[in-house]
Amino acid sequence: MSAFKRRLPKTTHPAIPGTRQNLSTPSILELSTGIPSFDDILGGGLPLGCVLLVLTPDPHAAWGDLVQKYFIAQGLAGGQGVCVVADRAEDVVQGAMWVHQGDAKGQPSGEGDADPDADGEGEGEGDAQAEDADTKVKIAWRYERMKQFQTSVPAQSTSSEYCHTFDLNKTIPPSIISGASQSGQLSTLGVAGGHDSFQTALRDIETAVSLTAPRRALRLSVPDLGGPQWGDTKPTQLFQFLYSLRVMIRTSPAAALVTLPYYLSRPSVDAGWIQKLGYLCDGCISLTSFGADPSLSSLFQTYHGSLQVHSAPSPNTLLPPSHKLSVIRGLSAASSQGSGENNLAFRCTRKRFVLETLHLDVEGGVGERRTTPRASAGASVGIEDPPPKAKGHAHDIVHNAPTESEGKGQPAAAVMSIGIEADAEAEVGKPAAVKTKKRVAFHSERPDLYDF
Amino acid sequence: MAPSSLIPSLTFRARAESHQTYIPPPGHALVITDQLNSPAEFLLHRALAAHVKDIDKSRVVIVSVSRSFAHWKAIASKANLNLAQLSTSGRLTFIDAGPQLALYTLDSSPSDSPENLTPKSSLRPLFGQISSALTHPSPDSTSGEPTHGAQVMLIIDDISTLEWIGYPSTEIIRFYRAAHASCRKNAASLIALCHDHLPGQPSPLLRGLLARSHAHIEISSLESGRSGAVSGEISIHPILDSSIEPIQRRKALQYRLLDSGAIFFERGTGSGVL
Repeated sequence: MSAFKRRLPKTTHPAIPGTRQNLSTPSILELSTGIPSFDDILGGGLPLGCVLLVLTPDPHAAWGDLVQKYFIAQGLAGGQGVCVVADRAEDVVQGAMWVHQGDAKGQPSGEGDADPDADGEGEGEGDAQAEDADTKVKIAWRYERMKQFQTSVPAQSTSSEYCHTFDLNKTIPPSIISGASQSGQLSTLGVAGGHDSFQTALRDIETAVSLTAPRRALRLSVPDLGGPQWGDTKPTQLFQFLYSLRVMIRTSPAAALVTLPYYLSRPSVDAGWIQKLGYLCDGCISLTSFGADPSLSSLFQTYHGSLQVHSAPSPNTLLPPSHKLSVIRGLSAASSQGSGENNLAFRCTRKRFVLETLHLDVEGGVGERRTTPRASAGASVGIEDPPPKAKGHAHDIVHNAPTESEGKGQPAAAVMSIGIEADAEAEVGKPAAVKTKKRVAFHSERPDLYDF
Repeated sequence: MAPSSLIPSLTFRARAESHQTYIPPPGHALVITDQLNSPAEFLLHRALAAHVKDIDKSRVVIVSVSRSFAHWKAIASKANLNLAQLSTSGRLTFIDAGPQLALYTLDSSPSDSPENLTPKSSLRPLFGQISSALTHPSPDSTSGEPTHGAQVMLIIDDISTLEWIGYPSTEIIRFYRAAHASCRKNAASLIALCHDHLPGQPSPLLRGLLARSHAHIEISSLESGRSGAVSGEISIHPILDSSIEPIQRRKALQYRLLDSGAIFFERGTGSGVL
């Protein structure tokens, strides 16, 4: 028998349920935020002992609350302790989302972030399917085997203990909330108001942290810190609170998610405001809504806002795990040697909240489809282009349309409408033809820029 | 093995001696500023490792405002430094300023008036700890007085947080001056980290610190945003010590942060570029 003995790691699973070891720094135990793509941006999850601050500068959106609800729902579903510090904490908990019925039993959810259109957000989903059946897009051989372009990380196929798959259509059942409250898993702390509301809250949190059962992680959720119910908030008070909270929980199995009201999330509050907040917390992330700016919302129709990572948690390490492991941020040496950070955006669909890389739409931002399928091309029914142009752009249609409407001498915009009529006639013979609304690229009254 | 240095091209010259050293000589005060995208924490760890490894029987006093001992220990272990062992042998004194600066206190009863819970307006208690640590080796040092007279380094992590949580900047500058004076008396060097939250417009605190320092190491992030290949740029500005070789901003040295430390390279010669 050999004298050598294979040395095995002492524990392969973490001691605290619902946590997992960080891939790059195994001494860090991390908690899931409930959003797989958010976990990816943090480098795997929110490490225990860290304070994460989420800033939402848009007054008309509640992205911060949404992230808090995911955080709470994940804690309740995963069996960790949850402590909500807010004026009406019960309302925050009651509005949280919940898992699918099937997922609660551990069945595969069958839904992933990899397929961004899976939940039928876009109108005319039926059109796309019909076209798929008609004409399968032929891809050049060298690109055919490339994997599908992904803007986010895929959700886990099964709803794991670490990160459950939540559905925004579902609300958390009241029986779960009452059960968690009775068992001590869920606790809510009110805000006293007045001049010492921050001190009182800190003292309550300290008690809650010390009362947490052993081998149970605690999620501290502080929505709207410094809001009206906290009294007249001075910046120094806020900094003291964040600093004290960080010092308090850095050695305990707790992690805190803090959101600020919109008027404290803006850089204009004070000189260097975001930088100070970023230093005083372990991680600081901004969710800036595009809705605040009409030009941005029209430019990025598929996204709801952009995301900036000001700082990422890095306990026990110099380089944050986010820089090494995040696929979406793309800072790691393996994914992109020497390139910069990806532009990040977020969007909320009917079922879930996704963070992903930000890209312009095809051909610089026009939201409509520009190419038409060959077989059912409206204006080219009677025109028949040369083969390379058959699936051509809208310019081709505009160029060729006058041959059909010769002698009428109408401008290009009018020609387009004729093309649609021609198609309507064609539909008589083909009842299952595709709708017309997707076919025409330009609706401008003027001739096209490229229409020479 | 070549002696480890803070930054490859940075050398210091002590007043009395003619030879160059790679770490600040006794009496020197060094201010490091960083930005949110390019933290300078790695320089503190490099200074700690260089000081402990290269100088026999040297001592280090670390005043940590924002990080715990576990954090320091985990990072130092990647540089083959056992901080727990150094601490028990008396070569390291770790002063965790967090609990005494934080709003809450563990032993305070809820009946305390709120005034007792607000941070004290004076940094004198903290300075008292520092000065006793500089003068005497750690009390639990069992080996008598072997470290007496040894070269000491004082590392203050994160001075700017003191200002943000409510200490007046004049008080912090006085604290820094007192710490520096105590360092000079005990043949210690001083390295302080201050965050530059307004790049290009130094705060009154930072200006006050720089006026009393021998050199300023500035870590700035790339103007083009974060990059996977270049973590930031380093420039060195000598202030009171003209023997230090400056690195101007436009010729700044670039570095890439790794788990174990940093790799320095000249502009345009990073692994992602070449």
